Amino acid sequence: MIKYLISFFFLLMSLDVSAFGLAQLKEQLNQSAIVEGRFQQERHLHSLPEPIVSHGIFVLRAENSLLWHLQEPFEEKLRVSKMGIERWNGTKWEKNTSSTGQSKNHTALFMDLLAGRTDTLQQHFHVQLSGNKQNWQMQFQPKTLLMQQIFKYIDVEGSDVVRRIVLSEKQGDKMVLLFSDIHTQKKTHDTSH
Amino acid sequence: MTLATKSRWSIWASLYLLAVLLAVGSILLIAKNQSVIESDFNMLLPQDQTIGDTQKNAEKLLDQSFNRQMILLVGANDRAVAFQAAERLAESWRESGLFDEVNSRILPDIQALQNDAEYLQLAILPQKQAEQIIRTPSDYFQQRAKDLINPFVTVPIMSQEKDWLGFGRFISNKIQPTSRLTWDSQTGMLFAQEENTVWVWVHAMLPKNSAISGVDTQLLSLLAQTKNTARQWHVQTRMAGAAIFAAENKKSAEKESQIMSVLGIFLTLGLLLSIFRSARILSLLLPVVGGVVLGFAVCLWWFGQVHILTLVIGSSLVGVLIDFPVHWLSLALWSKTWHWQMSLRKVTPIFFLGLVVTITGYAALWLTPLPVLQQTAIFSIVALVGAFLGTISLMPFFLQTWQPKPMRLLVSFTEWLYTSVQQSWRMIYGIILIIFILILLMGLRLSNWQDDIRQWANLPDKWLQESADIGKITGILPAGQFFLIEAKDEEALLQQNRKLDRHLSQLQESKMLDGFQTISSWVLPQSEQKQIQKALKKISSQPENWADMQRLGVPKQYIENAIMQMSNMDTLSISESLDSDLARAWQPLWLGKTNENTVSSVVFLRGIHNIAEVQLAGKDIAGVHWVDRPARLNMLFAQTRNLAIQWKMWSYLIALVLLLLFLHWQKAFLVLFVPLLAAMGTIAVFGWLGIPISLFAILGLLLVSAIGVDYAVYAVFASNDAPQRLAGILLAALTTIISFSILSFSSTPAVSAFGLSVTIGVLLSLILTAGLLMFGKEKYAKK
Repeated sequence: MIKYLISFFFLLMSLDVSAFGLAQLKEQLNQSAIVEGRFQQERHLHSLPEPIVSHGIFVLRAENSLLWHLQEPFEEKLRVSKMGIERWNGTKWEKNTSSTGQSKNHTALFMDLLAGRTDTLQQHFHVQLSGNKQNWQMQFQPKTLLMQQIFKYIDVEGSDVVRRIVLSEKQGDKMVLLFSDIHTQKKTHDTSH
Repeated sequence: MTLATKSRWSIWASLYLLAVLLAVGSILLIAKNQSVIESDFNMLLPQDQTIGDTQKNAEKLLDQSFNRQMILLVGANDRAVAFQAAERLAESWRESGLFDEVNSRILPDIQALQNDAEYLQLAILPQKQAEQIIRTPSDYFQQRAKDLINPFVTVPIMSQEKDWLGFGRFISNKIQPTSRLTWDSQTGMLFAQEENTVWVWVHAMLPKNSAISGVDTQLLSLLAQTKNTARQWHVQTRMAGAAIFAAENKKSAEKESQIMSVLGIFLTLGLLLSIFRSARILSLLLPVVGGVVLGFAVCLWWFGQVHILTLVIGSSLVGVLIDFPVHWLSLALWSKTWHWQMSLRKVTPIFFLGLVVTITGYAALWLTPLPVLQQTAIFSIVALVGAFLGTISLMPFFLQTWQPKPMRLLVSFTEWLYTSVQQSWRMIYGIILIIFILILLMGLRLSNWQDDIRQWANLPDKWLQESADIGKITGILPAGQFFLIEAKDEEALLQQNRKLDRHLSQLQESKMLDGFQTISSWVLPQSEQKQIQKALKKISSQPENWADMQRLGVPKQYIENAIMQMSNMDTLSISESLDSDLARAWQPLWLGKTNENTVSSVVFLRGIHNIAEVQLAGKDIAGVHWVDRPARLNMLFAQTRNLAIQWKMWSYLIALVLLLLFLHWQKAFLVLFVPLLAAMGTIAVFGWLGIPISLFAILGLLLVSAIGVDYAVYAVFASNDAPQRLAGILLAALTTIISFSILSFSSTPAVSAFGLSVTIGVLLSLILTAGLLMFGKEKYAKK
């Protein structure tokens, strides 16, 4: 009998571990209507001795729009939505001329990473998830020929929100994004502001 | 028949048979090496005299590539299903062996693209950035620095260390010019999302000259098979391509010409058999076949190939070719004493006159600038002469011992008709005839003179709808209108192109135009590439211009080296810049050297909402031509139609001159009155029926005037009795009407308009000729 109890206990444990899967993660990341905070970006170019470091603040909304406000070393406000990328020129939002065609794909990829939309990402990558609810890691290995030619891998880490993204490019360059001071608003809250 | 005449006839007959055999032999010989029947409907379009050689060459080049393109869209609600079905259907297209290439996937080789990007980067820098570097270089480098740390900008094609100036950033946007298609990086396929349906794009290229190699018949069965398979898989398809229309036309024309000639011969012979009640009458077919064979052979010698439409119209000739023997034999209906030689002597001179007049009618067709009508003219003239010669040389052998059985019914009918009208109903018949003519002519007011390219070829609605759908879904089916730009060299061409771009952008902003694609948005003029190099050299010693890059930590040395390299790069000409896979979407715009001192390019337009305004965009720019092919063709058709009317008038005049040689002037005018009134009456009937008078209806009238004169000449001039002449004309008209009314059921609007106009015209000629006979001064049984 005790044998059964122990195995039952192990069974429960294993259930608990495997229960934290991609579906759950997606749901977890999807709970917030608004995620806002600070970002730091390190651009590691293999031809430069030091990474290019920049930071600013961001606001991510559940309806798939992102405000990306770069503060250092330059001021620049970008808005990403279904419309593509727009740039604030001091008086109004203006369409970024280099946001047609192929870069649409890239922007979509980036938004998918931020929002943890693993199902779309799985079309292009093999996804591996490890860790638990509070501290998880995902590694993306490029599946398609095109992605293989661009990326070595992509790492994403986080808890209730995404905390760190690493994009490692085939050409040897790397981009690391760190998110901090994150505030979230649950979806049940009023999101009208 | 005396021995001497017999041997003379034998010589004629042998010569004739020899000629026919030679013709058959040469047709077979030519057919062994090449396809003798041509079906490319574009070949039939009028030669345009209003445009220059350069433009003609340019359009020819465009046509060649346009006619080879085939597009297949595969749609399903489920994305994966759509992609899979598209790939499998593309595979079946590949396996069919009909195409030079079938492109369903675009899988770029990044390494190859990187190499191309490196040598292209200067030449294809966007205009805006080029201006920035030349005028305000610090603005350029500020944006360049911002983009370097912008995570949303695409991973550039070129690696950063090779692209410190950032020219490579713009390349990937140029690979796929704006359309509603998106590239799916997973499958490498292009697709468009429309409401709940995902449409996947497959593009195929037919081999050059596919019409000649007979690909088109197989093409239609492949398309049907594709539709079938798609239905089984529950996916939708849309297919478009100029070749589909060509193949459909060829198929229906071939089927029609077979059915029509068989039906025409069958009905005509049926009529003759029932009237002459002798199997010998079947021998009438011999001169008809001989005439057709000779006509076909001469056409082949003359033109190299015979168009399928010539055969369709030519197959209606049966009814005309048989006129002569019918007139000849109709005399036999009256008496048992009919003798072939005597009655041949009686009708030959008069028929010879008729033949000459008919031939002038066809010769008028030869003067039109439409290749197909020139062919029809040659074909018909040779066939008519051939049938005439065949009749007088061959028929005696078959008919010399023939004992005709007079047909009492027909004889008494025509005699009754003639005498009753002559004696008692003359007034009534005259009044009825006049009222009828008046009512008829009122239709002239209703006639609608109009030429439309759609009246010309048979464009099945099904396929028109599919190609419209493809245009709607993908947004890249170019309009039938475009701009053609000519200039003395590439530099001038790009400058002119840019002026046009500015006007077109304004139109786009005011929603009169959905979009456009020009070569100047692909490549910079070489002078400008050099200007950039000069500007770069200047700022290499002014680091304040690129201070923002240094703020990011990019060493000064890197930028200086990059500037040095860029300013020593080779500048590229248009054709050099297009020699890359990256330029694939732009290659069709460039026509290159179209003349000794001219280079040309095309500006494609999408979604024209205000054609009048768009048309004016190139008005003030030298070398820019607005090309509206549908409109121009319609205009050409109208011009040709008006010319045809002039020729018709001339042919009346020639006929009058010919008639005055043989007839009293009063009679000559009466004779001419028949075809003239028949032609006007036909136009009026078209008016009553609400059918537009197109070029082809008028061409039918050219034939009507020849046939009408024929009947009238016979009626007035022949020496036999009036009822006999009436019966002859009645029979001849019936055989003609049989074959041309069959033609009017053709699915090709041009052919059907031609057939209908001849049918109505001949019917009216018959009625008028009958009137002419009955109101003639001579009394029945004059002799």
